[in-house]
Amino acid sequence: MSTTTFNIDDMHCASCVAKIRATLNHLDGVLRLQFNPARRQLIVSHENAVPVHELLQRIEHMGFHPYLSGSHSLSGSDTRNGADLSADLLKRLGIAGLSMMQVMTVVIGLYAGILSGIDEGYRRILEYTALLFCIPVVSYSAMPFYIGALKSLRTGPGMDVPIALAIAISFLVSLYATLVGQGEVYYESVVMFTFLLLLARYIDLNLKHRVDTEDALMHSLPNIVTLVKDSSHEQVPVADVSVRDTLWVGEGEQISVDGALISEQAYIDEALLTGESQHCKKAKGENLYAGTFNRGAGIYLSVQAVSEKTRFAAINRLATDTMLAKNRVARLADQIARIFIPCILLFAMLTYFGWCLVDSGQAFSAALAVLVISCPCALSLAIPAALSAAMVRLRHAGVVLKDSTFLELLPKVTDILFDKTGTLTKPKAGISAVNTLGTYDAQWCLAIASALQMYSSHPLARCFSTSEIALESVESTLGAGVQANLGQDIVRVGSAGYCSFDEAYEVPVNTVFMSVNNQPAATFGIENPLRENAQATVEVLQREGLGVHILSGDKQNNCARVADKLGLDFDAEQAPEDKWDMLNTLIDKQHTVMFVGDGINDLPALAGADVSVAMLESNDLVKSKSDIVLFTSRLSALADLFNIARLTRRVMNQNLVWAFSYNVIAIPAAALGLVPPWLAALGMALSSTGVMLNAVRLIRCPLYQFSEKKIEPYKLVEGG
Amino acid sequence: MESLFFLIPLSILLLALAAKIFVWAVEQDQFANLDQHGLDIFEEKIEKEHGEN
Repeated sequence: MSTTTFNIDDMHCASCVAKIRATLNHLDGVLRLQFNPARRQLIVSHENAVPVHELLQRIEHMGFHPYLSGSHSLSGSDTRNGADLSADLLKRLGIAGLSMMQVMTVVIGLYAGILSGIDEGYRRILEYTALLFCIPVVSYSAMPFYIGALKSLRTGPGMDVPIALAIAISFLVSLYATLVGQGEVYYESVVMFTFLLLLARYIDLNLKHRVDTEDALMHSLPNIVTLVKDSSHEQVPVADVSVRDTLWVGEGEQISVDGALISEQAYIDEALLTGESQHCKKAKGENLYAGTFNRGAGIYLSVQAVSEKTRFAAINRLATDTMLAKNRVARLADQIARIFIPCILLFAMLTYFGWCLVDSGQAFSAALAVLVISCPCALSLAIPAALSAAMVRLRHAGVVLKDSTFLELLPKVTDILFDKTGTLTKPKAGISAVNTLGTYDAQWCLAIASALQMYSSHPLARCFSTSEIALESVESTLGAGVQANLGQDIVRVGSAGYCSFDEAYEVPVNTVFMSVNNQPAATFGIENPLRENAQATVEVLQREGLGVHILSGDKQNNCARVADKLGLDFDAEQAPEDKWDMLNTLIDKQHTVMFVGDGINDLPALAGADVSVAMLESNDLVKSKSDIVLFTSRLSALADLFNIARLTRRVMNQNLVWAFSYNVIAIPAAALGLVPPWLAALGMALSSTGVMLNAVRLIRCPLYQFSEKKIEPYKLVEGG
Repeated sequence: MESLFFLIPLSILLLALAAKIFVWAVEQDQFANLDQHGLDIFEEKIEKEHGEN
C-alpha cells in the first residue's frame, strides 16, 4: 500500500470535497481518502498497482488542478513536521494551562493564609502541593525554552535565555524555600509566565505561512505530460521525458519543459515568466518556456531542457541565491536580551558582595531577590505579546507574515515598488472601453461581439463574457477573427484588417475590432482594470511618507495610463534582472525597500527586497519566496499592514517602557532588601498582565474603510 | 482543614486524568483541523453510499 498527497488549491468547499470523494471512492484499489480542507490537501491511501497519474487525471477531469506534494512515497513530510510541531506545542500548552489552574487555586489558599494566619503545617502542605503541580510545567511544558536557550548560547544569548533563566531561578528559589521551610514561593508566577509565553509561541507557529520552496517549484508545473511516440499519444510523468522527445500540449495546458515549437504557430501566455497577461504569437522553431500556457490550439514541441535546466528553474535559482545572501534584521527582543542578562547577573553579584560587607547572612537572599524580581517576565513578554496580537489582527485582515520580524522592519520601509499587472491592477484583463462608429449601440455591439468570441480560441476572446444571441454559419479564421450571419447582416470580430479598419488605425490599448457588412462598427479596448481602492491605498501609503513607484514589464503606454491615474512615476518594459538592479540601486542608497509582486518575473526582486509582498493570485513559488502573503484581493490590506505595524511598534515601546520602569524601581529596592516577598510576586504578576493587556488592544484595531473617495484615518482604541 | 487530606489527592488525580485526556485528544489529531467537522454534515449521503458498496 502507498500513500499519495495531492494538493488541490481549487478545492474550496464541502461540495468540492464530496465530488472528489464520490469519484475516487469508486476506483478499485483506493483504500482510504483523507481531506484536509485547511491545507487544501487530499491524502489517498491506495494499492501500489494504482498509477498515481491516473488518480491525477481523474481529479483533473472533474475540473480541479491537483499537483503532487513531494515525491510519491513521501506523504508530505514537510506539512507533517509542521503539524507535529504544532501538536507538540499544544500538548505542552495544555498541560501548562491545566497545572496553572491547580497552582492558582492552591496559592490563593496560601495568600489567604498569610493575611489571616495559617498553621505552619498546613502552609507547608499547600506549598508542597503547589510544588507538585508546578513540576510538570517546569520539567515538561517549559522544555522548548531551555532547548532554545542552549541553542542560542552558541550564537550569543537570545530571548530564550532570560526566559529559561527566569523560569529556572524562580522555580529553584521556591523549591529551596519549600524544602527548608523558609522564605517565599513563586510557583504561580512560574506557571503563569510559562503558560503565557507558550500561548504566544503557539499562536505564532500557527499563523506563520509555511510553503516549502522545493515543493513549490515542482507544484508550479504539471506532473504529467503527453509524449508523442510513433504517432501515438501517451501520458507519462514529466520525469520520464528527455531532451529531443516530442510532446503534445493541448489547448489551455501548461508547458512543463523548455522546447522548440514544431507546429506552425502558437499563442503562448507567458504571464508566469514576464508578469504580463498579453499573449505572444510564436512561429515554428521559436523557443517555448516551462511555466507558460498554451492559449491557442494544441501544439507539438521538441524538448530542449527539462526540470533544473529550464529558464524557469534558473530564475528560481537567482531568487534563492539572493534570498540566502540577504541579511535579516536582528530581532529587537534578542538585542535587548543580549544587554539585559549580563547586566542583571552583574547586579546580582554586586548585591551579593555588597551585602557580604554589611551582613553576610543576608547576602544570599538579597541576591536571589534581585534575580527573582528582575525575572524579566514583563520584558520577555513585552515584545512577543505585541507581535502575536498583531499577527492575529493581520491574519483576520487577510495578511500573513512568514515571520513576525517583518513587523519590526515595516516602520523602517522608505520605498514601495509595485509590479503593475496583478498588483495595482487586477490580474485578469477585461473590456475597458467600447467605441462605436456611426449609429451602432454600444450594448448591442458588445453583445454581438461576445457571442462571436465564444467561437474564437484567440486569447483576447476570453475577456468577453458569454452571450446567448444565436448566430448562423459561424466561420473562424485562425489569427484573424470570427465571422457569422446575424439575420441579414454579416458580422465580424477580430483584427483591424479582418474587420475592414485601416491597419494604421491608432488605438491606445489592446483592441478588438468589429465590423458589420464589411463596414467598421466598433472597437473594444482591453486592459487590466485597477484594483478597487488602488488609488486610496496609494494615497495612504504616500501620506505615510513612502516613496511609491511602478516597476513593470509591461509596455510604456500601458504603464503610463495606470501611473497617471494613480499619480505615480514608473519604469516600463523592465526585465526581471532590471527590476533587481533598480532595487539594488535603492538599497545601496540606504533605502529600505518593499517590493509588491505576483509573477515569476518578480522573483529576483522579491527575494532581494527588504520586505516582499506576494498577492493572493500569485503563483505558489512566488508566495514561497515572499515574506508577506496577501490572502485577500483588497489592495487596502497593504495600508492596514503599515498601520498595524506602526501601532505594534508603539505598543512594543509602551510595553518596554513599562517593563523597564518596573525593573528600575524594583531591582534597587530588592537589592536593599526592602521588598517583602508577597509584593515581589504581586509586582511580577501585575507587570506581566499589564503588558499582555496592552498588547491585546492590537487585536481590536480597526481596518481601513474606504468609502468612495473619502479616507477615514483611525485611531487605536485606548484602554485595556 | 482535615478535608485537605482528601481534596488534595483528589485534585492530583483529576489533574492527571484531565492531562491524559487532553494529550490523547491532541494525539488523535482532534485539534489538527477544527474546520473539518463543521463540513462533515454535507458528506453524510456519500458516506452512506460508500458504506453500501
